[in-house]
Amino acid sequence: MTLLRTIDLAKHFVLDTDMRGRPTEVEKAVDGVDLTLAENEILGLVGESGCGKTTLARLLLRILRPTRGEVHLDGRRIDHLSERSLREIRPKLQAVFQDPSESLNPRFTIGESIGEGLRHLTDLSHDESRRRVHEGMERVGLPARIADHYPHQLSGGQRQRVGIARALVLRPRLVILDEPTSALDVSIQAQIINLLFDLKDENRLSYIFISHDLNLVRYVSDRIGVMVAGRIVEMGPTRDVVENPEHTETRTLLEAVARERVAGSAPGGPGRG
Amino acid sequence: MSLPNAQPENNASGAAAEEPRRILEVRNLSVEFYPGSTRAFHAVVDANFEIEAGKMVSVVGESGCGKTLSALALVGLTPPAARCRGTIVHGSRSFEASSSALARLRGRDVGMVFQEPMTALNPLFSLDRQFREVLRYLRGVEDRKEARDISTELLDRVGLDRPERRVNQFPHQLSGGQRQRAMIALALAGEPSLLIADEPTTALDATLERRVMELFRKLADEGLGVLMISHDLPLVADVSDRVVVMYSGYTVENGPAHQLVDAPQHPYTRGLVASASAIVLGDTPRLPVIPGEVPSPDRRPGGCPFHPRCPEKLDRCESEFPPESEPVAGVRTACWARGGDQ
Amino acid sequence: MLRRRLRQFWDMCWTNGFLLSAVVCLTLLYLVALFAGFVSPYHYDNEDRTRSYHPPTRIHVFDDGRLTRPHVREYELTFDEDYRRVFVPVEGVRHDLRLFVRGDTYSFLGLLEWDLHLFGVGEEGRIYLLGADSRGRDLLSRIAYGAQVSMTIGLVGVAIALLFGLLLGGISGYYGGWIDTVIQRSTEIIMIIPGFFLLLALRAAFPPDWDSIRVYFFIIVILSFIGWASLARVIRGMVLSLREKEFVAAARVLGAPDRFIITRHLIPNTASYFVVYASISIPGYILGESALSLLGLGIQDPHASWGNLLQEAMSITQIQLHPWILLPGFFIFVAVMSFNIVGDALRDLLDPQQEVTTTI
Repeated sequence: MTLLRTIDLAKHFVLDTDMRGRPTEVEKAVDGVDLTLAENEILGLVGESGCGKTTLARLLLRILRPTRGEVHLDGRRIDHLSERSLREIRPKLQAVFQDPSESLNPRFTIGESIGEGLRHLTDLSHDESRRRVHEGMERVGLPARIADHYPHQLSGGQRQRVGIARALVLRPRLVILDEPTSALDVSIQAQIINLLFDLKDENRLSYIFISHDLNLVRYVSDRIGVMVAGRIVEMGPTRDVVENPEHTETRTLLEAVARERVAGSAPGGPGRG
Repeated sequence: MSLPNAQPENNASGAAAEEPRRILEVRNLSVEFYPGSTRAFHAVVDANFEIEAGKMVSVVGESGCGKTLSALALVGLTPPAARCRGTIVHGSRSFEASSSALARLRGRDVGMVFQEPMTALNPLFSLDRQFREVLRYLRGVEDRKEARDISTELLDRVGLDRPERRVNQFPHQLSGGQRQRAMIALALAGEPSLLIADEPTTALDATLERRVMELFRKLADEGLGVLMISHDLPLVADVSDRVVVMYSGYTVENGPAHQLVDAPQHPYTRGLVASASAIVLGDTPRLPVIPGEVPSPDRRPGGCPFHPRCPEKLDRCESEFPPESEPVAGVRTACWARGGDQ
Repeated sequence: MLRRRLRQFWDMCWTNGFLLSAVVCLTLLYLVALFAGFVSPYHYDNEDRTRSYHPPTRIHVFDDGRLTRPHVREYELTFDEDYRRVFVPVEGVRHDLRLFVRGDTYSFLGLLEWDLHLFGVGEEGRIYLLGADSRGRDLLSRIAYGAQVSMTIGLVGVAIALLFGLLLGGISGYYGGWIDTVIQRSTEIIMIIPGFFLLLALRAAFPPDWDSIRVYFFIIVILSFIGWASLARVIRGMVLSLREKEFVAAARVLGAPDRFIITRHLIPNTASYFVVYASISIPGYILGESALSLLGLGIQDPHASWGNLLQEAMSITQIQLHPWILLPGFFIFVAVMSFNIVGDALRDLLDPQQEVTTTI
């Protein structure tokens, strides 16, 4: 069943206007994106910096208003909703951001950060919220005692777990993951990826996984979309895209990662040393 | 110039006809913060590594492992709160790690490339002018024409297209990858024998990242020594000769790049390689993980700092840091479970 | 967070002598302002016209070479050979200095009437530790009462300026568009006019014969009206960059309303700036009040503020003859200097760069 669908979604930023306020210079950050996402599916979006993938994420989350096009979530059109009406949608549609040290308010305790969504979007009592926050922390592997700590007292991996818990306590159906591991230490990345898989299976979540790292997207996603200059130039099941890339950009991305030699995948070749 | 008493490398290419010239040797380098105070801690403990001309050595580790500090210590750039100890041999000259004379090596003997080229290039001046200043200071080139020729040549060497035109441009007219190349060319202006690059590609996209890495490989092949600092083991393993793996201030493994990836010795390296290869192969439903958190250097567990996360932990790991051993020829590792007791 | 900062500030105090003395000075000045009635031997308007420009009295502990209780001498006014007024000690008349003496009544902390003073010499004599003014009023007492005006005007003024500056700057930066334009043009209009003339013009718009309390509040309002504009501009700039941070995007995804984002996410994160701004701009308020009062437009005699005390020092001959009347200026100097030192220290402490180096 289709959970999310966009039709010709676009966001143009006006960079400069003439004297009468008419745009003279426009950046087409997202320029006509059609995508669908099924329930319990992971869609990977890959592209180089500046290709518009973060803008797309913000359009789907309705942090930005689209210039044109439609977004349907669970059969309901959401792109034109007011902030007030969006409050019904928000719990279903959550996000985990790239840099956990940037995405947590440094002046909020961990408990406050995780409970923020509950505070704004639900009518839960104080005790009930606390219980949900602790539940969420336990689920992502955070000890309950750090609820009173501040982000700077936590490690990068713990902070990203906070970011995940914050989305999870609202019991969402779709979580948009915008580079969720790229700011993390190498040995922590795998932990977070596994956690995201576990949570998906437990809660029948769908993910949109945005990254510049094709290897990672390939590992994580059921389907892949390749973004170039605001458009999705190629989209399909992961295996098809990786094995039969149709677009040159996809091929370039694949070439960049193909030569990384790690155990088992090494093509041999003379070692230097 | 007299050669330092270089040990012949005990590996596959050790039998090469020409003995490679050793340009850098680091012996028992330690960096301590706030020495003597209650919050004193070591950010780098007893680092040992060496670089020969024409070789690329990468120091790999996670944030706070001390990789950048070890590199900065080589040219006396550690923060004022830090105290360095140990010996640093540049070519034939030996320095105390705390010596202020190390600063004079910058530019002429050691070129440096940093993460974000935009902060290292002056946005107000054309490349030509920036090169001219550096060339006059480092090589005493006064003649404009001559300086321009040298800079064009340098830009050509780092693979910038149409260097004779690029030399007139300003940093903002260059793309991220071109800027980083210009930065590398600037680092080469003093004709250094060693190039230190601190995460030179993190600001770049994956495809550019790869090409810039290949440029460093090419420079090494031309005879330069390259010290690469990175957090990305798979990326650097492909282009480096040797890789030094650091964890929480300690050097845990030091070996030829291909061996480190194909047959990692230390459990930490094994964990990193296992996750990375599982991502590439994509045939497991979950990734193999190293459990636990990366300790910050001021709250490091005793003994081997990796022991709380280690799947092969022995009793003595909690109390003593293992001495270096060589379980496989050419690979030095510090682990009790890898014959650290021999 | 706050506790850690306070702790760091405390540590800084012990390593930086300037800072420590500034903090001590400010603490003392505020204590004096708070307990002005108690620490000053006389009421601010207790005058003795026979002792006009009485010089500072020394406290003696020896009498005829023998150690005695601390006391002051009685002085009497005579004229020297050039017919200048001089005060000479009267032989044999001494007044013992006593602690906790009864004297003029004052209102203690605004709660109760009280007449106990920290020190004094009783009814029969007078003590002028810092000299007297033209009407024989004790300068020390007037400086202590003046501190009530001068030391609080900055705090209250900055608090009001902060309130407006933060809210308007925050709204301006967060919403952008026409709201931003309106607020920014208003700040520019205020900033175009030279501050001192604006001060005079605003003061001139209101009756000159108001009582001191009303004038006091009015000066605060004028000063904060001028002060909020520059703050609002900087806060707007900070909010402009802060609103691009991921935690603001995250808050919107979590359904936070704009009001919550501005007051809880954005403004608190500008604290490192506005705390410093506050401590550095307090001297401006002290000086602004002093300037107004010096010109006779601020606090009116008999009420005291450091500015109107300096009115007496406007003539060079008076300063030559009675140099102690410049002392209020010294207190202004100490207060302004101390606030600047503390402000500098806060800036170092809250500098985000500092944050980076301490977390290496």
